[in-house]
Amino acid sequence: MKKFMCLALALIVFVGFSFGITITMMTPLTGADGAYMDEIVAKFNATHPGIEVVHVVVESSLDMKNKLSMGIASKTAPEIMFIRKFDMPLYLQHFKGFTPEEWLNNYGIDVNDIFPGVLEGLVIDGKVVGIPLDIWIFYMAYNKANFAKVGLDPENPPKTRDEFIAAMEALIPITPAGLTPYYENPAWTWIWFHLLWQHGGDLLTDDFKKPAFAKAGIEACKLMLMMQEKGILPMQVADPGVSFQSGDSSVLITGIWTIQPWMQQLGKDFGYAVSPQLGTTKAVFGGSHVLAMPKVMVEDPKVLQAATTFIKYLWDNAIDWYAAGQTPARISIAESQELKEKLPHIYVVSQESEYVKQFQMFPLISEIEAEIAVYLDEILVLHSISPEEGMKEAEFAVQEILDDYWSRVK
Amino acid sequence: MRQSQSKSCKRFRREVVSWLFLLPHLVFFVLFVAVPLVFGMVISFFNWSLLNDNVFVGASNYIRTWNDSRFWPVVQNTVIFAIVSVPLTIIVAILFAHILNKKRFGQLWLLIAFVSPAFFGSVGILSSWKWIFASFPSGLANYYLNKAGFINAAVSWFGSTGVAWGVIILVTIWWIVGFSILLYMGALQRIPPEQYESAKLDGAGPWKRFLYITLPWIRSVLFFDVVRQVILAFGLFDQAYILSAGGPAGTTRTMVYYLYLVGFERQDFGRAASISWYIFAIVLIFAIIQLVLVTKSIRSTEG
Repeated sequence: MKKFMCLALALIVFVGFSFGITITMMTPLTGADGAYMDEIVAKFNATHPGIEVVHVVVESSLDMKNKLSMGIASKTAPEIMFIRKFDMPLYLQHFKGFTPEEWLNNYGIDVNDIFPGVLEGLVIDGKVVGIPLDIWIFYMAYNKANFAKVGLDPENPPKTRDEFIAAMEALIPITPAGLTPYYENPAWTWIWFHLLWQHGGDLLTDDFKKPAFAKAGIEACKLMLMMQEKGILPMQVADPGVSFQSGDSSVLITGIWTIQPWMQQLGKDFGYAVSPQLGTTKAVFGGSHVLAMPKVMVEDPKVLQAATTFIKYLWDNAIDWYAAGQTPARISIAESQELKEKLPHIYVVSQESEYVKQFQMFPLISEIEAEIAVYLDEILVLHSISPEEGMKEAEFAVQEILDDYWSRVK
Repeated sequence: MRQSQSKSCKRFRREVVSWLFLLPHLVFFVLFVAVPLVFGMVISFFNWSLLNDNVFVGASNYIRTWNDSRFWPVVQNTVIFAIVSVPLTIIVAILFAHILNKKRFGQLWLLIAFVSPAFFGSVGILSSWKWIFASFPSGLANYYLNKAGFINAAVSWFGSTGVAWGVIILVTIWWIVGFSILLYMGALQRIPPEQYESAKLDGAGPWKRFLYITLPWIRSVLFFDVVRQVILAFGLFDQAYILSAGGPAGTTRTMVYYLYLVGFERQDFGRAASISWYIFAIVLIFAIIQLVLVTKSIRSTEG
């Protein structure tokens, strides 16, 4: 019996050591992009016998933030977070930071290769707390067949405001009743942000103490109301995907993550281009997935080494990830011949990356966005108030959130 | 002496046995109701966060909620929802209980159809309804209403306040009415048929029979159901969260929806706890009003 017990113990110890270090990575990748990440993780695990990466998926930002908060508090968080950048501000002090030199010297990661706009907000006290891997940039998806039907050049989509409005007006006659050529939910806040930035505005002042969106926000709303009046954009809430997929609507300005499925579903009729400039400023909406390590989970140098080995692997093999429908966060990849040859559609859209604008890194940014959505609904869906009134009320509501936040944070 | 000793021993054993029977419920009650209740009260006086130190702030969370311009509109939304949906649910339940109480072909299937939604989880049911009320032309409701000639273009069901509330109330009634139907069916079956027969002979019409026979017989069940429905109405969350996401323009946000936003989106747990005590106070006020009204009506009937 004693011998048997010893043998069992030895077996357990052996099995325990043979697996090496297990690293958990939490991502929000529930769609087809999750399969791409699974494949990358499998390749890494196959080539790194001492490290096993486990990919855990949590879709909603809210769930992810709650799990991360709980995990940090109880020291049970994942070692690596593959987190949306706008979900990070609450945790900036809780992620492991490195100086740019430390990243480069210790792990071979050159943060100067990342688009500056994408790295913005991730440097805390001179230390980089997260590595952006991609940009989910806005682009224009359009139906080439519909363009051809009304005499528009399918290979030369609109680039400016005037060209865009003219093209949409030309598409109205072939658009079924009840739909519009650009069939998008007018109250989708990300479109409003895209236009806000294209009109030279931003959400908050640099110190996050006051709202700063009214002027450009009014212009963005006016542009959308004008498109609604002309029958280019719907008057009410719309579910855009189905109509675009069926070819009933012709254009969407949307996230790069849709490019892969549209290409497959629409085939040769699918066209893609950079977002047209509808405002006065060259800017384009974009988010990023950022790789970050909760401090409390990488205190052990071996775990830190294993986690950064995987981050470096993703850094080196990022092009496999962009096939899922993301544009590069690294300048050298965005400009590379390899990307142009392997993923020409991603290459085309990523040429706008230097103009990417992202959400400011304020902890209550999602709540502020939700509050602005209330007034966008009133202006663009209910049509119950003017853009001027709506933006004034939105600023008042946002100021209340800011005051409440700063009264708690000293 | 020995006899009294054995008596007290028996009594003690009986006491222990009754406590043992109570124990499973008591443990869960203490763990999942009493402790969280006390804990909720405690954290409502703190600036409570999972990530930073918790700081005692006295009644500050309650004052912030009181002064919050976004809180009172959601209270108003919830009260209006309760005022509209509770009577509607009860009327529909009594109506269908009446119909199902009469023996007819396929009665069991009808009963299953009405009652079964009450036993399904919210996410599955509400996702299906969201698909039915999708705003694109091929959404189920839009497609068939268009085919039948009732609408010309796709309707955005959650694009205007009135329609959004209409859909939420419709789905809520469909979802929860089943259990009430069961309650009223049980109550209706206890009414002696002779009372209806003699009332008929005396010339009482259907409305008078309902008012003077049915209603007094089902009053106790009705009271229980009203209290249950009011508590459910004040806890409205899933429908507003999944179907309308609180829109348009925040007009379908409810008290619990707001609590969820503050607690989980902002991760301001102290403030969320203070909101939950406000909700408790509001529900309590309504429960007391109901209690007074029902007691009055019982006394007046007895008098």
